[in-house]
Amino acid sequence: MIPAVAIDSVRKSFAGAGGDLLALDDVSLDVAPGEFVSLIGPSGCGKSTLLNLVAGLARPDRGRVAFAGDAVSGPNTRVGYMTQDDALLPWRNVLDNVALALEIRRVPRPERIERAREMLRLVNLSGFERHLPSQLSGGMRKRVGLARTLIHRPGMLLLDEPFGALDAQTRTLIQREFKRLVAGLGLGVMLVTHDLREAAALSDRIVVFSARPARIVDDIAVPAGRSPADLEAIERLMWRHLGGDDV
Amino acid sequence: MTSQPLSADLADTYAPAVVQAALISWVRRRWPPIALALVLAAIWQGASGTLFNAYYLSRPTAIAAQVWVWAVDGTLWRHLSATLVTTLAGFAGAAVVGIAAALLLGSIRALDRVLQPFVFVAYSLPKIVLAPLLILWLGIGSWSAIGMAFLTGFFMVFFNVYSGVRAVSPALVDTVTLMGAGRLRTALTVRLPAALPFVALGLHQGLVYAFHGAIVGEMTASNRGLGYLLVYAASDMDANGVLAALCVLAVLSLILLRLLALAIARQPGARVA
Repeated sequence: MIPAVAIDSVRKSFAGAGGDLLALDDVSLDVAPGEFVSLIGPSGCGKSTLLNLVAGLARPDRGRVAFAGDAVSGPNTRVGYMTQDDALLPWRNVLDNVALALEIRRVPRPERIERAREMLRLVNLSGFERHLPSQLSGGMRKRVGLARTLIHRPGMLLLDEPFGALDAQTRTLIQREFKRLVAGLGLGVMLVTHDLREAAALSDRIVVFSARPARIVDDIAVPAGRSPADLEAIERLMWRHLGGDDV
Repeated sequence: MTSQPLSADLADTYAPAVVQAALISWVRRRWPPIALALVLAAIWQGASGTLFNAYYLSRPTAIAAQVWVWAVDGTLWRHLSATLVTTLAGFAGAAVVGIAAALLLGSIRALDRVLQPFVFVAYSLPKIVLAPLLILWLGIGSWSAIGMAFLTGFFMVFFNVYSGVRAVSPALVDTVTLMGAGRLRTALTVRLPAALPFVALGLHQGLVYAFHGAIVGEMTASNRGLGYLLVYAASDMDANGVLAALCVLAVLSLILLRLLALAIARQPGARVA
């Protein structure tokens, strides 16, 4: 089976004020189709850089990144990409924001309106079509972002701390809704997060990175049953990897 | 043609009342500066010919009489319309070219790196030094003045829009890039709308500067327009004529600024942060 994402011996550095900054050093990672993988590690360790390589927003200095068997050599338009930043266009209403990807792909207007409405139904935002992003709460904006990302039927989702800016209660609700949506669509996900509970609750697999330059420290499979005891053990393991004291 | 006498009739009946009401309300709102202007004019009028030589500073009544003469013999309208046309033509060119150039340099980094120093050097030059070149290329006349209005207006539009385009959130650009948008698409769907408040500011300043450029161009390289009228009076040693042209210019720029302020206030994009 061809992996959805194949990252092979990738190295990436950035030009900084005090010389080059090595973000990733010899990182290899495969993600199977439909797999939900969380990437965790210390702040600024290069996890986001890895997502950007898969998205084709940056290129590795060495090594190879392939998506569904094809080398990534420019913006990877087959992925859906979401960051902590909503990145909604503030001058467009909700419907036109959700339909944006279809507009860029020149889908005729009646079809894109219909599909955008359908996506808004899917994320429980029917009735908010004419609202501007500034008139919505943080959680609602996140759902608009999700609808906009899913509308062009991406092969995979790349998420960089997508729920980081939300309050705890909203975050839990959105996580649950998100998990249901993704499972329903059978979508693969690469999720960068600092939230260990989020990683344990959502993923099939958790990859733990070291501090910069990022190397893979551990690769944890989450048992399918997700018993509270399992999740607690996994959280404790991640906590230890990240240098926390044992609890 | 049949409607013309009717509308003229209507204007005769209603216009004076409307104008009168507007005038009264304006005086009510703005009486302190009006009062000051009247006092200064009275002092000027009294001092002219007694405290100083009227040949150099003229007097308000003589200036008003000059403007009146120009208005009646058509001189005023000919030069006023030339200045307006020059300003608007220069401004229109500056707006279109300025926005396009700002989008181009703001979207394509390689181009930006090559051209930026040239743009900054051209900007730092006083535009008046280009007047001899404009005359050489376009001859003495309206085209040279339009060229000057365009050059001075262009940089105002360009630099404002450019800084707005560069301030666009990279997250928005990345988002549409991953949706498959090319550079032109990104420029039109993200960069330009996001920079709209800067565009409004650029157009505002661009119009004012194009007006200044038009006057400078008319003074140095044209044979019509209010700038030309002013220089022409000066070359005749006619202080009264110079001051009369100045007064017309002052009123024109006041009206221009007022209209602009109204247009900006109505512009919906100005509210988008």
